[in-house]
Amino acid sequence: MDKPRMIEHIGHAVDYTVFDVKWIPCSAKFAVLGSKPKGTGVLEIYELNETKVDLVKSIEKKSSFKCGTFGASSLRNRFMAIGDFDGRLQILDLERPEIPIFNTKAHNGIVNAIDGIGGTQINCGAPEIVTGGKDGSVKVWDPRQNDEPVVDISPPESSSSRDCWAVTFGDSHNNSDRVIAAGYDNGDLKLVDLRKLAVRWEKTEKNGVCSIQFDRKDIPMNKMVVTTLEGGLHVYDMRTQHPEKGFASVSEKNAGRSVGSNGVISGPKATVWAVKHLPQNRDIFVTCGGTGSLRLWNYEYPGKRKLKDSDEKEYGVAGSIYLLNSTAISTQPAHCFDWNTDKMGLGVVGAFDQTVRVLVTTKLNLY
Amino acid sequence: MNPVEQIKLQQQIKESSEDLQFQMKELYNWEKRMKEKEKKAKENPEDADQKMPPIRSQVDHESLKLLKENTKQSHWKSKADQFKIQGNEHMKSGDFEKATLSYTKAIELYDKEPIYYSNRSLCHIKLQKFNEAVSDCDKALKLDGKYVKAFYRRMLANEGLGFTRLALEDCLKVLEIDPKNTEALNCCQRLKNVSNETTHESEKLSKENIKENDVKTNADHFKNQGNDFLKSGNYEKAASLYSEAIKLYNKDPFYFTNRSLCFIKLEKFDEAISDCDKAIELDDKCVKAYYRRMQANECLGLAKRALEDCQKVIEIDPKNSEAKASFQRINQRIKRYDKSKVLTPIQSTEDFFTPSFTKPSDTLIKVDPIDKPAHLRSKKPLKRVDINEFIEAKTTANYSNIQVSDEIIDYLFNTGECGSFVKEEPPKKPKLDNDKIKVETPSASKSPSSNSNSVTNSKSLLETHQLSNATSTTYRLPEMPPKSTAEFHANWKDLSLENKFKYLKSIAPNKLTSILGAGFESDHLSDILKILSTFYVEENLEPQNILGELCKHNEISILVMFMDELDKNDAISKQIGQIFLRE
Repeated sequence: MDKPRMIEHIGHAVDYTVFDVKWIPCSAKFAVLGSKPKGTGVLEIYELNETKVDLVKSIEKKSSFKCGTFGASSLRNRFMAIGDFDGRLQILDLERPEIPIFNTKAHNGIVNAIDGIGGTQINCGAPEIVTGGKDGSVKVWDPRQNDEPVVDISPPESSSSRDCWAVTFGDSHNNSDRVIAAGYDNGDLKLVDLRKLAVRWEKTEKNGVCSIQFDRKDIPMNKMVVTTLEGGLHVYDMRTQHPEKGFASVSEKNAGRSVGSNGVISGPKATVWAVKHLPQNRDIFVTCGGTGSLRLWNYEYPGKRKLKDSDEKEYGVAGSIYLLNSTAISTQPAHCFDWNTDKMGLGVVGAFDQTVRVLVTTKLNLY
Repeated sequence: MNPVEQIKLQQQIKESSEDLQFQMKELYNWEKRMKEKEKKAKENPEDADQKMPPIRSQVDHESLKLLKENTKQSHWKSKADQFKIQGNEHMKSGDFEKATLSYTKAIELYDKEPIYYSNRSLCHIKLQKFNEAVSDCDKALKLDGKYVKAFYRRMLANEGLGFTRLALEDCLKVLEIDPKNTEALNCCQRLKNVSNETTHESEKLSKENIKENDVKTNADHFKNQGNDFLKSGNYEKAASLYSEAIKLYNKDPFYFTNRSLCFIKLEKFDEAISDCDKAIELDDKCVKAYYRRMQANECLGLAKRALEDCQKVIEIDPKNSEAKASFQRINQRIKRYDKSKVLTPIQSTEDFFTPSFTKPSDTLIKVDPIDKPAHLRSKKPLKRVDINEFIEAKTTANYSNIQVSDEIIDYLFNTGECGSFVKEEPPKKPKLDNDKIKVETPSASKSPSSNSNSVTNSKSLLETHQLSNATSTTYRLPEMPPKSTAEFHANWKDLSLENKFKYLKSIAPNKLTSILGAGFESDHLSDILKILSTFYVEENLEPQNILGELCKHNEISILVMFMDELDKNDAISKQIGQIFLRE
C-alpha cells in the first residue's frame, strides 16, 4: 500500500476523437488535439477548476490534428507546433490561433509524430521541431526558417518507404550536440546524430515502434524507452555504446496486456501506445496500453553501468524495471499521455473512447 | 480474514483516502496559484528574445558553399598543374620561351598558386626579362609572404637590373626565412661588397651633398662675419656668430677652431678645449685645433697634455716654428716641476699622520654596524657581549723631540684645497719617518699606571692577555694576604682569575668581610662566584665558608639583586643565590 496509485480525478467526454493531449507550460491548462467525425481538426484548451474542467478555447481547422508539442516554444509564448493528417506542420499562437505563425507542408500523408526542443532550456541548442510522417521521412524544422526543413532524413525514393511512427529528441546537453531517435512501423529504430548528420545506431525491434522517449532531452543520453506493438517495452541504457553490441536494454513483453482482477495477466497482447517519463523523476515512467491500462514503472540501475569485454571495449549494462502501479481507465486504448511539469503526479490521458481524463498519482515523492 | 487483518485493511483504506483528500486540496491550491501566475505573466509580456544558436541549415549551407568552391578550385588547379608540369619539362630542356607560355596558361586557369609565378619568373630571368621577373615574384609573394624561392628570384632579377640595394633587401629576407641558405649567404656577401662601393658613394653623396652645400654657404656667411669681429677684438660677438654657424652646419672643423680661439681670448679654457676636441673629431689632422688645445692646456697648467698636443702639432706640421718654440717652453716647465716636485698632500698624510690605533690582528673580527628597518630586525632579546679592550704595549716615542714644521701644520689644515699646492720639503721629515707617532686612545692615555715602566692596564676578566714580557711580570701574585680593604682592591683588579683565586684563598675566611669592606661591588661578587664555581670545585674545596662570609657583608642583599643572567645561570651560583635568598 506504500506504492503510488493513479487515480482518475476528472473525466471529460468530448465529441471528437482525441489524438493528443498536452499540458500548457506554466499553467493549469491542457490542450486536446483531435479529429471531428467530418475530418476537421480540433484544438481545445481546458482549464482545471477543482472537480471539473472548463473549456477555455476551441479552434477548428480544416484537417485533423494528429500530434502537437510545446517543446520548441518558450514558456511564455505558448506556440504549439501541430502536425495534421494532410502532412502540414503549423505553429499556432494559442492567444491568436486564427493565423498560424508557421505553416508548411511537411510530409506526404499524416504527420505521425512530433517533438520539440530548445524553447525552454537555455544553452541546449536552437529551437527545433522534428516530425515523422507516413512517407517515412523524418524532418527537422527551425521555427525561424519557414520554407524548408533544416534536416531531412528521407528514405531513397526508389525503395518502398516505411511509415515513421515515432520521433524524439535527445542528448541536447549543449549547443551543438543533439540526436533524434526515430521508430518505424517495421520495428526499425534509428539514432541519428544531428551534429555529424549520420546514423549513430540502428536496431530492429520485433514489432512496429509506437513511441520513443529519452528520460531527459537536455542531458547526455542516459536512458531511452521504446514501446512497440504487441506489448513490447524496451529500456535502453544509452550511456555506453559498444561498437558491435550497441546499447544494452531490458525488455518487458507483457506491458500492454491488462491485469485481471486477481492480478493474472490475461487477454491479447496489446500495443503499448505511449511512454512518458515523469518530469520530476527520470527513473519513473508511465506506459499506456492498448487495453486502456496505464502502468507506472520504476527503473533501477545495475550495480555497475559499464563493464569491459575481452577487447577492453566498454559495454553498458541494463538495469531492471519494476511495475509500480497498474490501472485500467478505459475499455478502449489509452494512447496519449502527458505529465504536468509543475505539479508532480498530475497527468492527462486521452483514450479512444472520446474522453480525456485528469489523473492524480499519489506517493510519487517516495521515489 | 481475521479481525486484525480487517482492522489493518480498514486503517489502510482510511489512510489512503485521507492521503487522497490531502492531495486534492493541494491540487486545488496549486490550480489557484497557477491561475494567478498566468494572469501576472500576461500583464508582463515576454522580454526580448534570447540569443539563439544559429539555424542549423544555414550553417550547413555556408559550409557546403565553401566545400563546393574548394572542389571547383581543386578541379581547376589540377588542370593548371598539368600545364605547370609541361612548363617544367620545357625548362629542363632549356626551352624557356615555351616554358613561359605553359606557365602563363597555368596561371590563367588558376591564379592562386605562387609556384606558377615564381617558376615563370625564373624563365624571365633566364630570358633576361628582369622587369617581368620582378613583377611575377611580387605576385607570388602576395600569395605567399614567406616563399623563399620568390625572394631569391627577385633578388636575382634586381641584381640583373642593377638595383643592388633592393637585391640586398631580398637577400636578407631569404636569410631571415632560411638562415642556412648557403647560396643566399654567398649572394649576400657579394651584394654587400658591391653596395658598399656603389650605394654609399654614389647615392648618398649625390643626394646629401646638394643639401649640405646649401647649408654650408649660409654657415660660411656667419663664419666670415665672426672672423671680422675676431679681427676687431670683439671676441664674444665672434664666438656667438661661430656658434650660429655651427648650428647650421656642424661638420666644419674650422668653425670650432675659430670659436676655440675666441674662448681662449676670453679665458674660457674648458670650452676652448671641448671645441678643439670636436674639431679633432671631425678632422684628426687639424693642426690649428691641436695648437689651440695646447694653448688652452698650457694656460690651465696642464703641462703634460699641452706637451702631447704640441708634439702632435709638430708631427703633423714639422716646420711650425711656433710649435717648436712652445714645445721647448713647455718642456722646460715640466722639468722645473720635476725638480721642485713635492709630496702631494695625500702621500704626506699617509707617510706621517697615520693614526696610531692598534693594527687589526688576525684574531679580531670586524663588526660593521647593521642598519636594518625595524620590521626586519630580529625579535630575539639582545644578548650581552663582553667587550675587552686590547691596547698593545708600544714603545712610546719621545714627543718632546718632535718638531713639526709650520708647513706641515699648514698642510694639515689645508688638506681640502691642496690640489695644486706646492710645498717645500719639511726639514724634520727623516726623523718622523723612523719613529711612529702614537695617538693613544683616551682610555689608555687616561690611566697612567702606578708602575713606571708600563702604560698598559687591563680590565679583562676571562681573557688571557698576550702581554709583552716586560709587563706580564708586574701582575705577579702578591706574596702577602691583604691587610686592608684598599690593598685588596688595588691588587685584585689587576690579577688574572687564577691569581685571584690564589689571592682569595690566602685570605682567612673570617676576615673576608672586613677586607672586602665598602668597596665590595657586583664585579667582585661575580668574580668570586666564578672562582668558587671553577677552582673551588676543581680542588674540592668547600665554598660554604666563603659564601657564609660573603653573606655577612652588609651590601650582599643589594649585590645579589644586581647579579646578571650569566651568573645566575651558573649552577653553583644558583645554589649560592638560594643560600643568599634564604638569608
